[in-house]
Amino acid sequence: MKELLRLALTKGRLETKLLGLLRRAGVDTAPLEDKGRRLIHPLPDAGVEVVLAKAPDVITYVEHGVCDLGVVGKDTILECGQSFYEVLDLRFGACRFALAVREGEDFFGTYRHRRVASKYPNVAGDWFAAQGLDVEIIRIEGSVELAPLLGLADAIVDIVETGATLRANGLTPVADICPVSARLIVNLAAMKMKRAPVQAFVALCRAGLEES
Amino acid sequence: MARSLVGTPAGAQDYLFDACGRRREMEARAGALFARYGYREVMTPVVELFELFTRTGQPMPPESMVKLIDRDGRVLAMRPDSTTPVARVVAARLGGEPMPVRLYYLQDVYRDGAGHRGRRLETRQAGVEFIGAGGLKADLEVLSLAAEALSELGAGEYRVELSHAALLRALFRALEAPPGAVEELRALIERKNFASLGDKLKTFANRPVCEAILRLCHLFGGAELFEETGSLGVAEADEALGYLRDLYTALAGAGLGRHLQLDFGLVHQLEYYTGLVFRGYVSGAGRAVLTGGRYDHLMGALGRAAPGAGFVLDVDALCARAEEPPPAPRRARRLLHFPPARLREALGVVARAEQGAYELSPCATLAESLALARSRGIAAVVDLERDGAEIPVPGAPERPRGPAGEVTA
Repeated sequence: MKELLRLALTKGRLETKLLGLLRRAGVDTAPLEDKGRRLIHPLPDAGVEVVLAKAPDVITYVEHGVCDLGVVGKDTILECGQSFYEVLDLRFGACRFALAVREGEDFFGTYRHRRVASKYPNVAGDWFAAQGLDVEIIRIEGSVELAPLLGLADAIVDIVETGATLRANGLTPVADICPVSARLIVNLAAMKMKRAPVQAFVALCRAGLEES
Repeated sequence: MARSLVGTPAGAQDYLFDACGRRREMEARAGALFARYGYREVMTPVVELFELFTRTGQPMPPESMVKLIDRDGRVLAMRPDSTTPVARVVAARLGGEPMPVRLYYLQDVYRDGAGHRGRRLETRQAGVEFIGAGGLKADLEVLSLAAEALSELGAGEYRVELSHAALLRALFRALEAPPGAVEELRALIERKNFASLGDKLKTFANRPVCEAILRLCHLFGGAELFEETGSLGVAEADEALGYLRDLYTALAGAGLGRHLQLDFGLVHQLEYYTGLVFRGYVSGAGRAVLTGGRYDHLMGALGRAAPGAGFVLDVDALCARAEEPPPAPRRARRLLHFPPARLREALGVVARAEQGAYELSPCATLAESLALARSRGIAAVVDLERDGAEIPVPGAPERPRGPAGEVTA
């Protein structure tokens, strides 16, 4: 049997979406639908074996080369990505980073010290720096919407899909920061040392994208 | 004990026993190889003046240097690379020596910001600098040496990947993009983020150059790229391409073709390198284990203009790839009990014996020495007070997982 590339796949929604895409490209994804107790799931049709992981771990595995490929959201890449190739926009998991404030608040008009809560302090910090705005970023792990409600922050930077959660908590998006979707990433050395199989997998994903 | 006293800083680590041996052996092999080609060893200080790195075009961001302040208030940096200090040596210390100069080094570099991402604060490098010679043959020498180093030290498949700094630099210049935009493009190319690169390039008016950049970044692979690329429409870039082709042809003629590849999207340190840039990969290592290139402006910044080129190997990455050495042979080991008055005799015994055959006993009485031998799993005590009589130690516990070489007489 030829050697399989190892793919780190973000658990959950991106996992389901990627399997859908691979099925459309003609791959038998049965081994990943009935996982059992295994931790590494071979998908010989696609030339890969799959490891399921949390999003930031996908990046860590790919950076260190223990996985050749990874599927992870652009949000995680922006927050903690460093060195790997980002070769394909898989288009699913689409949403955007936005700045949201309490309804009726003039966030940009004030000279007060402003505090912004976010699960993504790097993304938020970079964006405010690019805007030339000096704000204090507070890292929050769970429901970020809570921070303005409790009076901890004046605004939040978070991923927004429909805006329903924001509205339900009395927040309005006031600025889009950037769009987000799932990406296929490749380890730097794997791209060079395993070029043919890597490109075959990229082509497979492209084929799946065209089918949808 | 307080936790802060036993931990190492993030990104730094200890090396114990066999790991030290593997490192030293790898360095010895690298040093022997470099010496065979006429390179001479230099060692430079761990700390240098901070300005040495900030005012010589070194692309290392200041925040990633580890800094200290001396008694006069000057800022010092723990060397983030060795090329600049070695170039300083050539400018300041080897003024009387005719060029070209071939130097090598085996030493650590320090880069901060490693955090908890598994990156190293302290990295052991083996590198060469070939200063005072430029052009095709100098580049060929450096590249062949790099290939030979990977072949000899890498234990397995390896690749040397070439590009030329002038390719993208010339295209960026032709694009007339502001510096901020160039940095953004560079980052996208470095990541092979083709989708975003295409979008970003749409904001520039010069279509042919945009297309050339986009085309160039898709190109990585073998010699077929030279045919596929054709003309890039910018004279300097085409010249660089032609030069790479000459290099490639000469190296392929030397039988290295199988190990060569090209990546025209290599944009690492575009302003520092002036010509050839290259990286080396070995199978199983997750990132490049060798980086190098030509830096013809560096010596000028140090006051003795001269061309230069070189590369560094990541010693620890190579050690991690090397075959595990066979376990050290098990040696007989005895505990040598002696009264202070017979120190000279005791030292004589150790000096004449095979390495590691004896351990001196720090104990005052024979009973204590016997107890020590038992607890350390040493099978016999040799007592100089009784003319070197060997006393077996009953019930010495076997230590199945002890360090190599520490069992039985």
